[in-house]
Amino acid sequence: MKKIRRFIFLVVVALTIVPFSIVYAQDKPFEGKTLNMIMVADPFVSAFEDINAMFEEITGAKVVMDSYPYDQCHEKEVISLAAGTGDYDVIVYDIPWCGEFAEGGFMEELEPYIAKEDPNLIAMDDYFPVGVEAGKWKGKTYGLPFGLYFVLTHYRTDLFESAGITPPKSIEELEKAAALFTNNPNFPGVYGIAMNFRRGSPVGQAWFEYIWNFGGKYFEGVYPGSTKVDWTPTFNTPEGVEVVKFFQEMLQYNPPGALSYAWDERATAFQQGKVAIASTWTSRTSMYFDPNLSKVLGKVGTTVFPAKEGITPIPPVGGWTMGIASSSGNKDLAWEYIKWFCSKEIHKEFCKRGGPVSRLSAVNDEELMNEFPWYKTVAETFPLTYVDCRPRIPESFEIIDVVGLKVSEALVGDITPEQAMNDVQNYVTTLMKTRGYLE
Amino acid sequence: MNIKSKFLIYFLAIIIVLISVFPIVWLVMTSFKTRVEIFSIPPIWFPKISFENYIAEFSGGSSRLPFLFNSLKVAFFSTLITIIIGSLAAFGMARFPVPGKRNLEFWILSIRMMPPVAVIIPLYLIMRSLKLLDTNIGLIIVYVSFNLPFVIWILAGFLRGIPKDIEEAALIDGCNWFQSLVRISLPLSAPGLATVSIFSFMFSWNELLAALVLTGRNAKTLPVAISEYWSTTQIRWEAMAATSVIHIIPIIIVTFLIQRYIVRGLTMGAIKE
Amino acid sequence: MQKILGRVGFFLMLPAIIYLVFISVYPTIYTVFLSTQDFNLTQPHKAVFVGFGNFVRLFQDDLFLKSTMNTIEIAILSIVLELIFGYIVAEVFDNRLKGMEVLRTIYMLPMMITPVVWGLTWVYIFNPNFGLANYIFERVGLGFQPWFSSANTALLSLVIINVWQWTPFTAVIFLAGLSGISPDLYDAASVDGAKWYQIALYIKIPHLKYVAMVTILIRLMDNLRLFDLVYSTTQGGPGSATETMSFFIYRYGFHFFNTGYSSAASLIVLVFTIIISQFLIRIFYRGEEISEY
Repeated sequence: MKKIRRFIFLVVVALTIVPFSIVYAQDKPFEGKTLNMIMVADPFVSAFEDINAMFEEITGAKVVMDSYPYDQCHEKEVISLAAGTGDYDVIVYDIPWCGEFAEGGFMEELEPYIAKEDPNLIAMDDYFPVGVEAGKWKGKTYGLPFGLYFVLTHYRTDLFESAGITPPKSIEELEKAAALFTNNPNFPGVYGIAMNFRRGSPVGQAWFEYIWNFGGKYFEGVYPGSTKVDWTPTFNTPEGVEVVKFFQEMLQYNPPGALSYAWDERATAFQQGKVAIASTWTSRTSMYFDPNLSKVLGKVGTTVFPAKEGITPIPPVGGWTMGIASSSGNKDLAWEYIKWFCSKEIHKEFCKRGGPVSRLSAVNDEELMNEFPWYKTVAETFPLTYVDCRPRIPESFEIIDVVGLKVSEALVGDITPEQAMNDVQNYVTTLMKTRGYLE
Repeated sequence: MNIKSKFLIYFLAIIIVLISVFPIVWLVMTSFKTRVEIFSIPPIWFPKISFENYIAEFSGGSSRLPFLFNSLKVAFFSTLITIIIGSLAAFGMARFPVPGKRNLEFWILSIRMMPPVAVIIPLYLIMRSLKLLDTNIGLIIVYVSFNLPFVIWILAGFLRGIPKDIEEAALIDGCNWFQSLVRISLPLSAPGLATVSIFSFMFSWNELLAALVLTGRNAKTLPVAISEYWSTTQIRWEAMAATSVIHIIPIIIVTFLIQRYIVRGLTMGAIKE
Repeated sequence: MQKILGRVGFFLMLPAIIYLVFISVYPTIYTVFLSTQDFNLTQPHKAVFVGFGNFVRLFQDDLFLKSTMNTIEIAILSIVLELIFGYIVAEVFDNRLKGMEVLRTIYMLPMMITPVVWGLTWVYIFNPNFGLANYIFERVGLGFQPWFSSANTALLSLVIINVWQWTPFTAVIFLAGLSGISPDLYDAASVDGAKWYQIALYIKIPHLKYVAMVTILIRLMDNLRLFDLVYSTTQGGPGSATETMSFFIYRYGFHFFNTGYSSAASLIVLVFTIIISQFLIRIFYRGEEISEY
């Protein structure tokens, strides 16, 4: 039975490759050329390696991939792009960096390239709408949203069942559930929840993920559906402070060492059965379903990221877009790669290998839905998301890092939540003033 | 010295050396381990010796070999240039009545004290406008500037220690200028030259910050490549160890060969006769 | 004649001088200029002149002040420990026994090797779960230590690595200093019936004062620029426990590309370094006669 399935799989793969092979005719048009990519060292790297091999087969071009952890990735990308040395052709960059990269002139505008292609190939309307927006800055497209992440709240179906509670539908329920499982003799060796509390991007981004769901925002004029332009920071509002207090509360329901937890540790804690709940990005969801490594296989359920009672959830959206470096010497080859990789067919291949689903066709695809039951929650989530849940202006990285520093200091107990958010407010206000956003 | 004291001294010396050296041994052992062995508790002191990590890191698609070559090229040429420019300057400073010499010497010495982190940003901008970012040449230029003050200072001190009489005797004996330089001064300064060459090479070989900022995929040096193993999670210890061992082997060899010069170089920096 | 010789000498020094002016002096001046601007490396066209604005912000910046405190703390702890251990080691190695030279050479290895390697190696050793350090500590009853994962112990862990790596430097210098003590002093002392600790206290240590001063100043400047170790271990965390001044400059310069702010901070570090180096230079030349040159 297995052999036949494998055979069918191969045939399907072959059939999807064939149309592209025909496009590239008999010889390999890019034989001998090298395409340089830089990206983040997230779990999808192995999916990329597989798919890049396919690209090499078809076009003859060699794909060289440099991948780095999150902060280093940002560092290396900016240094390299600012240097303008043409080191890299294809840039995979995080949504909040969009403004920085666009304003810095690092990325090619993609409209001219898209215009020349068959619209069915590009299929812009097949992406989750929030993704299309994410790749745009001031109306121009700089990246294709191949790797959209959403935060889903994952929970242990078995533990919830024995405790007799339903998956959390609000922050209040989340807190109650986390408290229930921590230090509970009925559930030995388990903690309530794992969260990102490490100083810097991890906890900084976490603040931005939760603020909307506490009814707050970070700039006066930045919220879903806003038409007004007002860059006054709103970090030290009661909601802003409440998020920090919430983190302090939740710390006790986290495993020891949580203060240095970042994305990997958090996901591993859930995968190894240490915690009952973990709200993590979809990039790591397939980890929990990995038959080789996951200790919670078959016991994982997902639900939409909760908000406080009475507030409509705005689940966090994030993820990676793919664009062409303006300093690249291989722009045509880069575009060939990007349009091929982001096409519906190859995106499905990407998803099959654990890549984060970003297209409507993929999330509704029967085969994928059967293999990945959490697609249902993704489908419920993406319409609720807001593209600017984290700022995308050039100052974004710095702002998130400051929030990350101050919140982490509050968590360690060096300062109070009020003080932390006041500090952030002052810092960002000064920053926005000197950069000309505020008077 | 009696047997007891001798024994005590050897004993203490060995303990001190062990403390100093165990991380090196640990590093080498780690480079032989497999992924699983890295995480084992209790820690494995003597894994089976296997070179698969070395092969993995220095061959194939993501080979670190080019970076090793970059380090070699940059260290070698920066040392060469530094020695040439530096010995000229040291010679001029030590043997000639240059006006304002005392001030010049102070100035050169102060530059030696300057922390690289203070000038790294302008250097980045300068190199960028010269289109020398991510090139070996760019890094060589910067390293020469870092090493020059030290080299001049040490060599000048060394040359001053060589009595002028010998050279004057040679001149009286009929040697001309140039012959005196080549036959007398050069051989006498050989230990000094050896010392500064080694320090210069070592500095360039070990340097991180400038390389981090000024190089990219093409001119990356080995320390940068090693720093890239760092991540908040999932550090590939075995790979990092293999690359590091390759990096430190030349240093270890050189240290043993030239240890006398090293001691002299360090103390020359600290002790005035 | 003097004049001609003087010119020749000057010409010999010229290449070095030109080189240093372009690659050392000019960048320093550039740094001063940059420190008065607010600009982001990725958008240089938006640069704005802010005069002393960056400096004012720096002195009110908690993180900068914390980094200064951290740097000072690391420096003081490291130097004190290095002096003590360095002296002890120098005493042990101060003899002509067979094989001592080899042992001494091996002992010097840590400081010859680039700090990046040590950072990563010690992160492995200090790993709370499967690292060598905790394994040994638990065996000898000292218990589980969080090392780099707790704000309380992270700085100390850095100091341990720093001291471990650089004590050989102090030891070698002290050794050379000790060898400069005339044997007559020892003979006189033993005639007077002095015990070993009296010899240490009244002969050796005073004689090493000058050398110790020099060592302290050099290590002080080294610690001001402590970067490689922080970059390869904690990157300033947890919290801001191991944020050093050099790392602060790097973070603002190459994580946020806030070039102006970073330059202002590096100027401050430069000023500290110059002040310390002035002391150092003065000590160096204290012993030197006004030369005939």
